[in-house]
Amino acid sequence: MPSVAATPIEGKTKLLTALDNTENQMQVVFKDAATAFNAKKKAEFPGKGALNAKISALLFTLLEKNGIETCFVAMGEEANTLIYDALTMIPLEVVVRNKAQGSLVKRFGLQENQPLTPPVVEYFLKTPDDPPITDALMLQMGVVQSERQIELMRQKSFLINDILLAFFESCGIDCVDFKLEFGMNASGHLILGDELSPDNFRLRDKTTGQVLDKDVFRLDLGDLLATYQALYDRLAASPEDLPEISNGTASHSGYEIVSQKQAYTAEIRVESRKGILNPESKTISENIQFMGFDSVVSVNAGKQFTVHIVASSYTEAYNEAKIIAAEILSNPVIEDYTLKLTALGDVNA
Amino acid sequence: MKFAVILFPGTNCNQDMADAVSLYLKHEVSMVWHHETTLDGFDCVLLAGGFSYGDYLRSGAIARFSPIMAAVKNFAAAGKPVLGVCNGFQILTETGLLPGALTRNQSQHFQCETVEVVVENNRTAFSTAYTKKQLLQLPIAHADGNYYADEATLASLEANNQVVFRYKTQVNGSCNDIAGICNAQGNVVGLMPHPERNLWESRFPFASQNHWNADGCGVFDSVAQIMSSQPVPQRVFS
Repeated sequence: MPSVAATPIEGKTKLLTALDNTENQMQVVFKDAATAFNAKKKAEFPGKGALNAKISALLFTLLEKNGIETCFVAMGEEANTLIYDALTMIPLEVVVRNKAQGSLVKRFGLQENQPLTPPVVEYFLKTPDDPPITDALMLQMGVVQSERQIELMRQKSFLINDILLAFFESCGIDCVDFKLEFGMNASGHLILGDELSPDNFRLRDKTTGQVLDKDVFRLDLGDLLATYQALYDRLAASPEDLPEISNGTASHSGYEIVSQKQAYTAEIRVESRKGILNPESKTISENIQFMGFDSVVSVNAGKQFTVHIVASSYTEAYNEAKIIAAEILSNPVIEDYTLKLTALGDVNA
Repeated sequence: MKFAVILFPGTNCNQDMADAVSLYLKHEVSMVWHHETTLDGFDCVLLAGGFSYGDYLRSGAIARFSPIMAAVKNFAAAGKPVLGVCNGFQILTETGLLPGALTRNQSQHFQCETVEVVVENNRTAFSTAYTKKQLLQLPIAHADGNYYADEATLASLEANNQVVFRYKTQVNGSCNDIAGICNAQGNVVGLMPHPERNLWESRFPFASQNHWNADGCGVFDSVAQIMSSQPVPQRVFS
C-alpha cells in the first residue's frame, strides 16, 4: 500500500495526493462527480470515477506504446485510482478539433460537423472562465516558457491526434474533438498529463451518430454511466494488445492511421552555433550598428529551407523532416536547427 | 600501384593531383567520376580541391551523398590510404571520416597565399617522408579553412597525435592552428594546404615572393614508400 503524504489537491473531477515515495509520483482519485457549463450543472454518478480511470489508463497506454511520453505510471489499488508521475502543469487546455462542433459552431458560425483540415488546435487559459488565449498572451503572461514550447505542444497534440484518430476509427468511433493538458517533468520534458476520459472528448458512433461522451450529461441525452461503460467495453474489445502505430501503419490490427496522403510544409532554420564565427552575421550586425541602431546587440544570419512533404501522417512527415534537418541541412559540429511542420491538408482536396 | 582521383562536379584541382601521381611519382592514376560505386583495383584514393557542388549548403556537404563516397568509406575502413586536400578535406569532415568542421576564414576573405606549415606527426600514410617538426612552405587557396572542433575533440586530437600539419603562425583562425589532421588509424589524412602545388617550380604560385623548394613532394613520397614496402600499419603514431 503506497503511503500517502501531504494534503490532497481537489479539482472538479480528480483528487491528487503526492505519494511518499522517492519517484516523485502522485495518486489520482477520479471522482464520481460530473460537471458541465463551468460547473453550473453538477451531478454524482457512482462508478463514473472508476470508468474514467480505466479509460484514461487504456488511452495513456496506447499513446505510450506509440512513443508519446505521458504522466501515467500504473493503475492504483482502488478501481478509481491511477498513479501518475508528478508534473509541473502548464495552466492551459489544449483543444484539438477534427470537426466543427460546440463553441466553434457558436463562436464562428462554422457548419456543424464540418471537417477541419488540418485539425484545429486551440488554447484556453485554465481560469474559472477558461478564456481562449493566443501565443503572444501565453508568452506575455509567462504561462509558457518559450515559443518553442508552444510549438512543441502543438506538434505533440498533432501526434496524439494521429494516434487517437486511428484507434477510435478502428473501434468504429468518430473522434470530433478533445482536450489535453501538458506539464513538465523534473528534467524539463513536455509530458502529457491530466486525463483521457469521455469527460474531455467528443465521440460519436461512426454509423449511428450516437453520442458516446459527456455530452450525454451536458445535453440530457441519456444514461451517462451506461454510455461510459459501453464506451469502455468497446475500446477494451479492440485488440487486447493495443495497436502500435508507426510510420502510418499499425503493426497489429493492420489499419492505417490516415488513408489519404496529406501535404505538409517543413520550415527548417539552420543557424551557426553560439561561439562559431559567422562572417555574414558579423558584417550585417556591424553595419546595422554603424547606421546608428545602437539597440541592436547581435544578428544571426541563418539559412531557411522550406521543404514540401507528402506523407500519410503528421508523425511520418515530422520524422522525415527531422532527419533531413539533422543529417543533411545542418552540420551538428557547427550548426543548430529548428523545425516547424505545418499540415496543409489533403493532397487531393 | 594505382591511384584514384575522385571527381565531383566542381572539383578543379584534379589534374594537378593526377599529375602528382603520373608525372612525379610515375604511378598509374585514374579519374573516378562520383557516380561510380566501386574502388576495386585501387591502392590509394585522393580527394582533390575545388568547389564540389558549388559549395552549396556547406563546403563538401553535398559531395558526401555521392554514390562513390560509400566506397571511399569502405576503402578507408579497410585501412587503405585516403588523402583529402582543401575541398577534399572539407568532404572528409562532412562525411565523418575525419572529426571537426571547416568554417569560414576568420579574415572573412578568400585567402590565396603561401604559408609556413610544421609537420607534427610524421607517422601517417602521407607524412613519413618528412621529419618531425620539419617546416614546409605550402600554398593555400580557400575561403572555408578555419578548422573547428569542440574542446573535447581538440584535446583528443592532440592527445592521440592526430594533428599532422600545423600552421606556424595563425593563418585563418583555425583552432590550435590546425592545417591538417588524420584519423585514429593514420590512414586518412586531410589538409587545407595544397602539397600538389609545390612539386615543380613552373607550377609553384607566388614564385617571385616565395622560393620554390618542392616541399609538397613528401606527401606523395610517403604514400608511395609505404605502399611499395608494406601494408599501411593499423596504428602509426610516434
